[in-house]
Amino acid sequence: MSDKIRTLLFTVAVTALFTLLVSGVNAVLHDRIELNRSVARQRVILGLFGLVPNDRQLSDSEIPNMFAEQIEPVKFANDNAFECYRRSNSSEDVFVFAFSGQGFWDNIIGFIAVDAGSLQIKGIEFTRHGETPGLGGRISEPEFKLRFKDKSFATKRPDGLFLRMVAEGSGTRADEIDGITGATGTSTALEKIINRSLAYFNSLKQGGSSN
Amino acid sequence: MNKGPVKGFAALKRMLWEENPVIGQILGICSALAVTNLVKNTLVMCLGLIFTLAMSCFTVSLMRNVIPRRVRMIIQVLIIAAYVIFIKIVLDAFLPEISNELGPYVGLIITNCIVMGRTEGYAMANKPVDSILDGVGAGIGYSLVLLPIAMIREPLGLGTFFGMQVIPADWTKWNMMVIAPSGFFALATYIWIVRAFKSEGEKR
Repeated sequence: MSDKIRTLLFTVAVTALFTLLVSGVNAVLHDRIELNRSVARQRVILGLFGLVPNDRQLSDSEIPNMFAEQIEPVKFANDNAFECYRRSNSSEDVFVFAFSGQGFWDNIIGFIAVDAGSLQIKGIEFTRHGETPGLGGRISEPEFKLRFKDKSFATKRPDGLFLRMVAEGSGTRADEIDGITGATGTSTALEKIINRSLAYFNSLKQGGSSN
Repeated sequence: MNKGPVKGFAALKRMLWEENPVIGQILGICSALAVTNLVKNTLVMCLGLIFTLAMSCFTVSLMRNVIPRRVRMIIQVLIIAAYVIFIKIVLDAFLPEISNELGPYVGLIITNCIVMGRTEGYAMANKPVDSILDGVGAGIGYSLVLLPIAMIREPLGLGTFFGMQVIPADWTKWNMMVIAPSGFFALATYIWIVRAFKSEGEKR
């Protein structure tokens, strides 16, 4: 009996010790991890506004200041939680907003930049996805992201979509985007996510902004 | 194999070749398949595993005389998990991009059979310093298999090496090399070649 109790106490004590150690490390580094996450997001948003210079690497320490100076959040009356930004002190009508949706495997999460005047996509970034490497995973390649540039969502197509993913290399119109050969699942999932996000943004925009 | 307990650097050395955990014991295969499509990720994964092995073996070995036999495996997993979470937190804090790319695989070091194999098979019965050497040896042995595979898969699959373009852009990428099945092929071929050499050596 005493042996059983000793085993139990030992297990509890060791568990408590290691939990404490791991929690301690986590507590010490928590702020830094949060900062990293927010810097990574801010870097993506700045990039979509075209504010990250190509000729030099922006260091992590510059990002938060730059973000605070140049970017302001936009809140819409109908959905306060919707994450959306525009440039402060700028006349251009470009918005960057967060989107997410079910991809082929995991959720695809990212930001998209749109010009609300001409109703064109200005850029797209994926901050998280779990698509198959080398196939659907190619969505994070610069060349793929460029396929979205200047695509128009001004009017709906006859099939009811703003934008359609078509077979790779066959997209010619401003409402068609080249999909990825070998990753039809990812392409269709992305088509759904993008169309839904753009429609939602339009509806929020028409509902008016609260600031 | 049974020449009595192996001590000191011999414990490290035998893990590199004779008792290499991947080639000899076919352990740690899951992660070997998953992370070897990028050299950089593989390197971080290997360093993570070496650290986990060294520290877990050391800790288990220190506690070996007080751990009740009945719960020894639970305690080992607990110790391993604590170190792996530690690595994950440190990566998140200091190398966020790599941590992001590795995704769940760092956490999966916990389930890497090599770690528990070494703690249960060696550290539970040997002195702390020998256990560290044994753990480091097993980690390096694992790296010696993973890195060459990654060095083949990344250039052929993505045309890059350590993220740098090494193969001209007009090279048709072998998508096959990036996805998991090619991990099986590459690993199996590697083990086949190495074992062929090994049995050559043993015949003499």
